[in-house]
Amino acid sequence: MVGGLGPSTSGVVVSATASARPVLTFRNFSLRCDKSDPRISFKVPWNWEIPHGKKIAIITNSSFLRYQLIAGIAGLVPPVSGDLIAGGVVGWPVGGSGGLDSKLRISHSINFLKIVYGDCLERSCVSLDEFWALLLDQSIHPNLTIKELSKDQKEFFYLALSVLFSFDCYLFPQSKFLMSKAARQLRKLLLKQVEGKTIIATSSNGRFRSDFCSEGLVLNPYGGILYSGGLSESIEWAKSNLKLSDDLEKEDEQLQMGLDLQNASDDLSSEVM
Amino acid sequence: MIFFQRLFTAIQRQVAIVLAIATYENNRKSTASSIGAWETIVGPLQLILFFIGMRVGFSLLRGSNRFAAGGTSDMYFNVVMFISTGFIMVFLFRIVALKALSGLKLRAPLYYPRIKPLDILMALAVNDFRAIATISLGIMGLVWLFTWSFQLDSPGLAFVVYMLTILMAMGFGICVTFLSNLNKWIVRVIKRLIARVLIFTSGIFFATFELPEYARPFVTWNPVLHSVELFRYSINNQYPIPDISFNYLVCCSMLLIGFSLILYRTNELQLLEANDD
Repeated sequence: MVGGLGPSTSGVVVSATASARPVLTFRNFSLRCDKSDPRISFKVPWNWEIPHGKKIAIITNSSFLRYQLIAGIAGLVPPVSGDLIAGGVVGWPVGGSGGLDSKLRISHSINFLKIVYGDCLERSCVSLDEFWALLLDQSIHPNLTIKELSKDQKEFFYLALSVLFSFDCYLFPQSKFLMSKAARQLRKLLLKQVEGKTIIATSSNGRFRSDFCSEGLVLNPYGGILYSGGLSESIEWAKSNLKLSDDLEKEDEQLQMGLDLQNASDDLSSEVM
Repeated sequence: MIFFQRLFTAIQRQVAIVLAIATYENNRKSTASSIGAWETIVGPLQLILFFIGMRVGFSLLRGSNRFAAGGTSDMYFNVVMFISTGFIMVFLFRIVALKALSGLKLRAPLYYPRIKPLDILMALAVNDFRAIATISLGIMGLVWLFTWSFQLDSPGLAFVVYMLTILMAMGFGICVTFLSNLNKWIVRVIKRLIARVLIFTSGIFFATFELPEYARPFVTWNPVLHSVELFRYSINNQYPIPDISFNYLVCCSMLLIGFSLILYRTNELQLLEANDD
């Protein structure tokens, strides 16, 4: 599943779209493994790559490592060492609510992302009309501000945004809302959108894994690769060799992506003189 | 050829991203307060009007011509034009510098992997430059309308000086952003120090030629004074600018922007981690 690489000290990080290259290349890559001690990182740094089109479910009993992996690949936390070279467009965590200010209107938010990820929208198999129709079905109107949406509407809106754009690599930290009844239509569209694309998922939802992933990667709490192979074999291996908690999804919810990326109020007027 | 095509596309996309973040910030403000996105203009404008009012008030108390700038500078400009040209250039610099000292206040867009801290710093600066440009065009237009005497002797120089000040402000802003990780009291002291030094040495209230020769070195070290005086000179070529050098302004701008980009390249991750809370 993964190709080995020799260690490198290169500091160059390239971000471009090219299907010939692996979608993600880890070079001496290491992340934090302990929430309380920033010095504890991978015992053996990663030197491998993920080719295009792989759909990998990461299986580990450390919720902090699951969080660090998704946040590290999304660029929300810096690696302890090494580089992550992206050979395509890596999307933000699917359904993630971090980037948009709650004071923005729905139309503002979509216009903003349309510009930033315009190329991903051009090759998307979901049209803007289809997207707006889905939002209007949920009574999400363009002139509403995000803070005016109910909890369910917000979850639907953020998931719909992830579905709208076509990325080369999708990151799934959680799948609770995605696998719910309310998101059935979005799930269908997302399955169409991710065809031939790479998926890295840390969600532990069984139905999600069987619908979206085809391979498994079992990790120990220090990032060591214990097993890699087909999804069902990996799950079986993890069940018999790892102590997996019953409610992994609940543990993941406690670690929200990008919580430190909040906008602060701008108070320059008090600093006039 | 393919390399240049890719480079051009990448630059085009990056410019679009910076402008999108600038719009994001304006949209955010537009729903947040009663005056909305106009806040960026109203803030500096009220300060400019306050100082113009003070200066006119003092002129009236002294019994001199109410349109005069006071001192010998009234031979070249009326008070509104004199003070506003000073404020426009100084504000261009100080808004960016002081905002940057507080760290990245707009952090949420960093959630999207394509957006980097430098894009946010540039977008916020773009909004400030737009606001200041609007104010300066508005004030100059009004003054020219009321006095019916249009004067802009060297538009090219005015444009170049404006652009150099923008580059210098950007460079200084990026450099001081890294100071925002320091203790908040130290940051507050630095902020006040910069604000006061800028107000009193940048030639908002005085012209360099009015100062005695021995006192000039105490203020001519400040490159913002050079941009203020050169901007005034570009409006009226009769305006004397002793010890003011265009080359000095070019050197300071290029050094600051160059140094800041090197600093940013090597310390970008610090800005992702920094949180002033």
